[in-house]
Amino acid sequence: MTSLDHAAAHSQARKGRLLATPAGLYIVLFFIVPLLIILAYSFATRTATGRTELSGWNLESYDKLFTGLVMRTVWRSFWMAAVTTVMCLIVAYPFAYYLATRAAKVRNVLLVLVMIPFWTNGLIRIFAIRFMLGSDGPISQASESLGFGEFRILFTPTAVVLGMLYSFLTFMILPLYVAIERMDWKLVEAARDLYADGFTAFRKVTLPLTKSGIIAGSILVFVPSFGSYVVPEILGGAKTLLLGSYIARQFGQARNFPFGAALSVVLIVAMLIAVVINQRTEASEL
Amino acid sequence: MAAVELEAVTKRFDNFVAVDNIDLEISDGEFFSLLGPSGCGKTTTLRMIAGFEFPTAGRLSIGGREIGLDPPNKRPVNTVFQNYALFPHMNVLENVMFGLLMQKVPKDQARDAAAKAINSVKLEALLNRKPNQLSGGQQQRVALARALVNEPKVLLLDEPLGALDLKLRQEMQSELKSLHSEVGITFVYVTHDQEEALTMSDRIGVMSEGKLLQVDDPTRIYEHPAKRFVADFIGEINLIEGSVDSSGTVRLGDEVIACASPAPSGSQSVTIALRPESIDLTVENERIGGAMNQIPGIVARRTYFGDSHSYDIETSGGTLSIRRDNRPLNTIFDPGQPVTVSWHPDASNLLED
Repeated sequence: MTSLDHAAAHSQARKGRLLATPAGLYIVLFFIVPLLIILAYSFATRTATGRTELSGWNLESYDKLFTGLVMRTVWRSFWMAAVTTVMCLIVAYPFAYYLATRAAKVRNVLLVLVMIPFWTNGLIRIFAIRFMLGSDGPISQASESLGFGEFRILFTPTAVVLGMLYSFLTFMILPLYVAIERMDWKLVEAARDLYADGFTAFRKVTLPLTKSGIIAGSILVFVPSFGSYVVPEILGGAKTLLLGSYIARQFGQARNFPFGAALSVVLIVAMLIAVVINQRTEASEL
Repeated sequence: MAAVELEAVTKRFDNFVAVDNIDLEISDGEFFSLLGPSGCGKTTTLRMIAGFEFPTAGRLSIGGREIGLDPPNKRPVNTVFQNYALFPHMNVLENVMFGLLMQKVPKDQARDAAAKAINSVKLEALLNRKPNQLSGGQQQRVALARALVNEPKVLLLDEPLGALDLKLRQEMQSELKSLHSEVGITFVYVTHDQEEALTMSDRIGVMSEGKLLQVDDPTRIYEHPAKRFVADFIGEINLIEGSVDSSGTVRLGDEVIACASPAPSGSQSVTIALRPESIDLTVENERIGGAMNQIPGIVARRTYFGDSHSYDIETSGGTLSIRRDNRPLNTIFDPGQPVTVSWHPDASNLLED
C-alpha cells in the first residue's frame, strides 16, 4: 500500500468512527454503564435495614442463588419460556410460510397487518388479553351460555404462556419469514423430482434450510420470555412467580438490591452463553 | 416406443401462452434438444415433463403411460437443474443417495449405488464435501450423478452447462455425450446455445414464442431450415427476397436460380436462405462445372477473421455475405472487384415465414 492509500483508509476509518459516535455514546451511557452498576451491586452488602452499602465486596448474593425457591423459580421460568417458544414456532411457521409464498403485493399487506398490534402499547394489549380471558370476558360468557360453565384460565400458567405467545409472536414470524423467503425453491423442486412427497420435501429440505430463522426466532422469543415481567404480573397468579417478577421484587418489597443484581447478572450470562454457543455451531456448519 | 409424447400440449399462465399446442414424440434412448431463445417455452415444456407445471390442455405421456397430473415424485424422470440445485446441507454422498432413500431403497444398498454413480463422474475423492466446497464443474457432476443414480426413463437437463465457463462447457459437452451413449437413457436437453444443440443432439426441436417450429436432426436443422426463424436463429445466414413467376421459376434479382425445393405454388415472392460458407467466389466470368447457380456481383467489403475472410457482395438481388476459409492459395478479392458468386442448388432453401 502506498502512503496515499494509507491516508485514504485512515480518513475513511475516521469518518466511520464519527458516524458511529452517537449510537456508541447511547449504548455506553444507557446500556454498558447500567450493566456495570448492576455488576457492582451484585457484590455489595445489604444492611439489616435494607440499605445497600457499596463496600465490603463479597459473594454472599451469589451464594443465595442455590436455594430451593430460586431454583424452582428459575426452572419454572425456563419451562414456561420453552413452552412459549415452541408454541410461537408452531403458530408462526405456517403463517411465515404462507407469507413468504404470496405475491409481493399481498405479502406487504400481510406484513403491515403483522406490525399493526405493535402500534398499541404493550401494556394495554396485555390488559386486553386479561379482559378476554377473565371470568367476565367474552370467552367465559360464551362458555357459560353454551353450558360449559365458567372459563377459568386467568391467573394460571396457561394464561401467562398465552400472553407471552401473543406478545412475542412477531419476533418469531419475522426471522422465519426472512429465512423462508430467501430459500431457493428450486431445492424443493429437486427434492420432489427425487421422489420425495410434499411433506418429506418439507421435512428434509425446507425445514433444515430455514433452521437459521428457527434459531433466531427462538432466541428472540425465549430470551424476553425467560426474563419476562409484565405478562406474568398481569396474567399470572400467585402460583406463577417467574424470574422477572422475582428480580423486580428484590428491588421493591424485599429491598435486597445485591441479590436482585446477582440474579440479573446470572440471567444475562446464561443468555449470553446460549447465544454464543448457538453462533459457534452455526458458524461451524457453514 | 416413444419415451416422451406430447399431444396438443398447451400451457397458459393467466393470459400468457407459454407453450402453444405442441405435438412431439421423443424416442427411447434419444438425445433430444429443445432449442430457442429465452422465453420461447422450452423450459416450461421441460417442467411439464418433470411435473413442476401441468398442461392447461393436451396429453402428456412418458414411456407410453399417460402421466397427466401425476406429481414429480410419481414420474420416472429426473432433472439436472440449471444451477444444479444441490442440497447445501448435505454432502456429495447424501445428495446422490437422496433419491434412492426416498424410493425406500435400503440404506447400505443406496450407499453402494451412490458411491458407484459418484465414481462414474470421477468424484470419489469428494464424497464428504458440501456443495459449496465444490467448483462449478464438480457441482455439475454431482447433479448428474444424483439424477442418473435413480436410472430414470428420461433425464431432463435444463441448461445444465449455462453456468460454466467456455472451456469447461466444451469438456462437459463431450462427457455428456459419451455418458448418454453409456447409460442408454433418453436425454431431453434444454438450451439456448445452438452450438451445444448441434454438437450433442440426435434431434433438435426449435421453439419460438411457445410454438415448436421444426423438429429434425442437426444437419437438416442447419442445412435445411424450414422456417425463417429457424434459419435466422441458428448460425449466420443470408435471407434474401426472390421473385417467382407463373411457371414457378425463382429469380434472385435478374438471375434465374435453382433451389433445394420448388417454390410454393401461387406464391409471387419467396425468402431464400443461403449460408455464407456454402457460397463460392471466383473471378468474373470464370465458368464453374456442374449444375451450380452462378450470378455476377461486385465486392463491397472484405473483413479479416483470421481463420477466414468475410465478403459482402453486391448482386442484382441484394447484398450477400460470404465466408471463405483462409487457406494459403485461396484467391483474395478486393473491394470493387467484379466476381462470380456460385452455390449448389441444394444450399438455397426456400423458407416459410
